[in-house]
Amino acid sequence: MPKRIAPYHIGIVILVLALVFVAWLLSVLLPIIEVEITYRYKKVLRDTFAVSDIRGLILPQFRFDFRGITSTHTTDGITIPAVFIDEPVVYNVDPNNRSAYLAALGQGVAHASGTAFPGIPRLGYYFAHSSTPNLVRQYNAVFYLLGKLNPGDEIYIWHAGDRFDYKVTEKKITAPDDVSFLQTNSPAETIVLQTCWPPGTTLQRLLVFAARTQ
Amino acid sequence: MDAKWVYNVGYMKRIVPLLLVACFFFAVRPAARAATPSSCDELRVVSGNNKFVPSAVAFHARATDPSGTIQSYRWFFGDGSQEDSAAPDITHNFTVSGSFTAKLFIKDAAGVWKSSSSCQTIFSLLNNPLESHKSGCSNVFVLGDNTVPAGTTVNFLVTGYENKSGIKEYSLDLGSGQVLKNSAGTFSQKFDAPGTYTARGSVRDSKNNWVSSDSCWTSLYVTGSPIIVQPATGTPTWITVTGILSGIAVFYLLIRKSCQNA
Repeated sequence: MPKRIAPYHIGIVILVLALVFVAWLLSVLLPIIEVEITYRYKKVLRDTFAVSDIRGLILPQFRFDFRGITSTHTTDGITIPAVFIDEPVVYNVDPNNRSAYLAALGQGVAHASGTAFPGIPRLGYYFAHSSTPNLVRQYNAVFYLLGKLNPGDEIYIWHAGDRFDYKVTEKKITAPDDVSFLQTNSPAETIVLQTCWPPGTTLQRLLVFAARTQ
Repeated sequence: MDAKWVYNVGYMKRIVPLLLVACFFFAVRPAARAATPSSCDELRVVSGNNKFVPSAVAFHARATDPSGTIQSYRWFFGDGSQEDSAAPDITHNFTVSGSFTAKLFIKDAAGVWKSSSSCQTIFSLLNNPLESHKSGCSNVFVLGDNTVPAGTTVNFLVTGYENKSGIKEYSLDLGSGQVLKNSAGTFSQKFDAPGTYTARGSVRDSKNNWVSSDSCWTSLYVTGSPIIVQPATGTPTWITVTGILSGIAVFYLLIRKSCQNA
């Protein structure tokens, strides 16, 4: 006769599994859902009412600036109006040093050391989380919305107080070990924004290329 | 054996080495010539040196590129201004006197910008008694390639002008928290840590004021080990798989248990 598992043990198993599931839900899925809902809410406000905040319906100071979003990190930052990204940038982060870049990603978007600063006619490489189990809520899904960018969308990079404008030219998904784009010797100033894809995994990488416009 | 055939074999014996030599010259030599690098050979002041300001100074450049033509010349005049031209001759109007260091970069057929110590020249313009005091930091140059592996000693040149009694001191902020100063304007620094550095220059004028400008900087790329994999910026896949499977298992067990109770 097969030995029956005591209900007590099944209860513990369910509890442990439930805790694992809830931990994943809170740390990984919830930030993604939050970013997605915020994006859709802001998109409705922008596309339907042309305001950045619901208060803009009656107060003019909450209406959009002419570019659709007001940058707040104007010393070192990145602004992508199409997907409402407005975050700080940490420059000179070693992409080969995992602990160094994870520390930088806790403060915003990382700029890879050895790649060009804004204003230099070479390739600048920026990367940020699409999701992370780290409980750094503000920056754990910074680049989750990169997949919604389309060619022609504007990107502003702020460096040392100066703004550099780019337009998205291309979007592609690559394997993690595909670094051929870094060897491309482009004569024009180009930036590439990178994040993991699909969100919630490290299976592939999403690359968004943008060329300098002014 | 046919006498004609013997004659032909003897003829071939003579012609084959000649053909090999010809192949070497026509096939191998052009490749060797193509491997000869382009170079910036000379920058000289043609006219205007030691004249009173305002003065037009004419420059002439000489550069070679065995694999094609020079696409462009980028002139740094030493007074903070620069200009690109397709021709190796240019004239620039100076409105300030003093000693200037002009430098030239060429864009070769392959699109690579190059310079050399031969494409750098010093000249002077005489002070007009009515001229007011002017000083400025013109440019910062990396002498050599501005992309170097970690551990390389990099040489910098800071240029500037001062129209009364000359520049007293040059300063170079390396962007790594280190500031170098001397009276020559050339600096050497070893870079061990990979990164993108912005080196900003400034000069101390005869009134002991430190002055800089928007053009007085340059970027230096110190490469570490090459990136072999793109940084992982997402949740490790096993965490998401574990989370989803845990959720499925919990719901399955709860449904099964409630069915058993029913």
